[in-house]
Amino acid sequence: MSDAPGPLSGIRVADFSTHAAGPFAGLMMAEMGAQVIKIESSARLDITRRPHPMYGKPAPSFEQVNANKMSACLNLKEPRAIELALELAKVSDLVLQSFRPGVFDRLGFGYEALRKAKPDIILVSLSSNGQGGPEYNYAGYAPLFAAIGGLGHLTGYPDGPPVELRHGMDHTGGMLLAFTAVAALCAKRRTELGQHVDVSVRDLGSSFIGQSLLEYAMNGRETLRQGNRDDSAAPQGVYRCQGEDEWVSISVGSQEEWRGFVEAMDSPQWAEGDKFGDAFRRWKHHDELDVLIQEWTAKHTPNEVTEKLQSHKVPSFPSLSPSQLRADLHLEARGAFPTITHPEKGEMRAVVPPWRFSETPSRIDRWTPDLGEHNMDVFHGILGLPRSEVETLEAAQVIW
Amino acid sequence: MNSSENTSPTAMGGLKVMEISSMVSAPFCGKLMASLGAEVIKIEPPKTGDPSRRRGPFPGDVPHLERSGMFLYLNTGKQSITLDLDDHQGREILWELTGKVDVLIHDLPPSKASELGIGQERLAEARPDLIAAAITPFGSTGPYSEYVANDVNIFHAGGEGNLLPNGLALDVFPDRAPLAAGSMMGSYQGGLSAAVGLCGAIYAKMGGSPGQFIDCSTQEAELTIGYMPLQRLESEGVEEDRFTRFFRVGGVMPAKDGHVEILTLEPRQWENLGHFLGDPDWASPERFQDPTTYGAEINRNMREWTADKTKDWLYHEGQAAGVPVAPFYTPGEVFESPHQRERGFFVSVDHPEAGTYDYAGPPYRMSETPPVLDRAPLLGEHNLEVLGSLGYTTDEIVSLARSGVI
Repeated sequence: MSDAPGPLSGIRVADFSTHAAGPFAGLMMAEMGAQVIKIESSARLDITRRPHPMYGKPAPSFEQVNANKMSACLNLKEPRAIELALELAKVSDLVLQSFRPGVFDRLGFGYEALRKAKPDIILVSLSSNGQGGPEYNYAGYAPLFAAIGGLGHLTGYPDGPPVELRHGMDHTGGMLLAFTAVAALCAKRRTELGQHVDVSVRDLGSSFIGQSLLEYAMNGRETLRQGNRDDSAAPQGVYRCQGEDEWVSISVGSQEEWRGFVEAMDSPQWAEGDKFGDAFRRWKHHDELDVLIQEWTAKHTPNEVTEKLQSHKVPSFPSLSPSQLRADLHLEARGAFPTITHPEKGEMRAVVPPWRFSETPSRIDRWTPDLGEHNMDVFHGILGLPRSEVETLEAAQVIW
Repeated sequence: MNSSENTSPTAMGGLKVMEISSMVSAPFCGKLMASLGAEVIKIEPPKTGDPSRRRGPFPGDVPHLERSGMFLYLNTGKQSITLDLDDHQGREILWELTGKVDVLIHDLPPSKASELGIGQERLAEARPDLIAAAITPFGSTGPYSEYVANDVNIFHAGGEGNLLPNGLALDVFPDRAPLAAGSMMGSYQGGLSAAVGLCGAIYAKMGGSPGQFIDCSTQEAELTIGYMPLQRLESEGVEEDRFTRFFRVGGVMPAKDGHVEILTLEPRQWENLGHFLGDPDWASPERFQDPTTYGAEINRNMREWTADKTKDWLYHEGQAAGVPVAPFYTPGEVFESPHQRERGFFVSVDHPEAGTYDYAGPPYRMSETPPVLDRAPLLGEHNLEVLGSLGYTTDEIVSLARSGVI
């Protein structure tokens, strides 16, 4: 891979966000070469620095989200820390924050205060419900905003309850935050304007169900969850294969794909007749069809099914577990798990950035910093405070 | 919100984007670029158009190429030209267009892109200023780069599918297949992820970098948002599965009119939840602190407690009591949501063939360069304009139409 700088090299981001979604946006920018400074504090440790309420263990498994970043401490309960935060904003291009709406303003560096400090600052704010509206200050985590945004209702088996969506939803929110942040940087290059970007992750959930919202607007009809199925492909599903908890996904959308599918199964007699002869009949007899398909898939591994079907141009792929992903030959060929060096654990693999730029490569190459690891680099190196003052402020629990 | 009538600056005003795409991923990427004010020209096959034009939903359930909800939603703010890319002249026009735009978004496997004359190498050589993003299921390199996949395949290929469902749905159906998220979430996410990289490349080019190729694999986009189980495997050697991955307290709870989600991650929230439940013995702070022992019992009792209350009561009263709770809203409830209505999330969009409906708007606001939402194009609506700008005369365009090239 080329050593060229990433697309956002030269950009500095002051990342005040916590939990998963906001820091994930910082990670995306750091992978594109921005200098991202995570501002955190011993006074209120980010959840990724504490034992997790569900998994019990502290940081290691949650570390990737703060990789490639610098860590600087500021105890925002201290007025001097607020001053330093504003100083840092002055020398940054962009500030990320995910406090409950209103909190950032109360702390003394809301958008107006930031703009006074730096007129062309970009502030990107993430919240469940947005910075205004009747429910603006309601608490939310990923499964909550997926639920209220409508995506949760559409996830699940048709005859069962809805399903909670978790970190994937958080990180998708972070992805949207990164999109708006980089778009705002582009806007600044064009117009020289800074601005405040307000991202509501609830709205993101709703923006992913746009066609169902139009179904309601057009016909007053509610869309229902449909498991692994889809309106326009039959058969479509996830089928049990040989082995324990082994599954393959299959989606047959066209008549051509159906013919390929039948051939791939060596043309069993049941598939040749009229009963499943066209898309409508396959849709109508879908349950019966699923039983027959599963009799076939159960005799093969997910990879065997996939190879047979893909050679007939039929959409199919194994449902991969974490260890299967890590061992997947395609992902290995693409270098999807680059090795980076962890100070204590030695070499560990991370997940590659989701874009391969031919000219301005993105990369993940530095593990999550220790809490406050870059205090001196940031407050002395970037802000120009004397080393002794940084040490004094550390002792006074301001840089803390 | 910006609209075509007002004149606020936009983030990407003046940027020209060409899109060769179908269904969800690449169209959503293009839609996001259009929402930033870019001029997006979508290339569709003559007569049939993007397959999403046949997906519906249709007003009154009457199929019509210009009235499909999925197309109308995913292609807001774009222009449409029709071009037969299997035809020599069609490819000629395609190539001419690559010289007129700043960005190309497509969802073609590498062999097809090369066949159409827009493969990575040719573009790098002859269109060095162009930024081209290929959004494909498995990326443009590697053994599966030519594999075909729909949303369900991609979601399960990226790892998240194998880990769903958890909690209540798994309690009810422990033997069923793992599950893709609804509403083609993986495809949407793939388009969103690609848009981030695209904006990065656009930013770099504004600063003097050359044009470039961006290989966007939707499988890797899923992997990126689903990195946590991989990180646990790598650092702790613990493999997550859908049976062990659940919240021992809370999660999906039944309500009188549907379901709610309750999630308490902080000790303060456990206390609030105890009070909200009326401080019963089964929900004491000590028990919340030992979810492994008491989680199942707490949940059993809590489900009984929530089951006779409405979603909105639980939502508003719970939030007032400091308990993170939210209703599972149906699309209709989202559509009517007072909060999103007051925030102006829904935008009325008028379309000459489909009629006027409220659409989900952009999921972000920008104070100085507000996003734009304009209607989706008719099939080939901009043929004259776009081909005219390439120097084709009206007679030539008419002839191209008659011969089926456009």
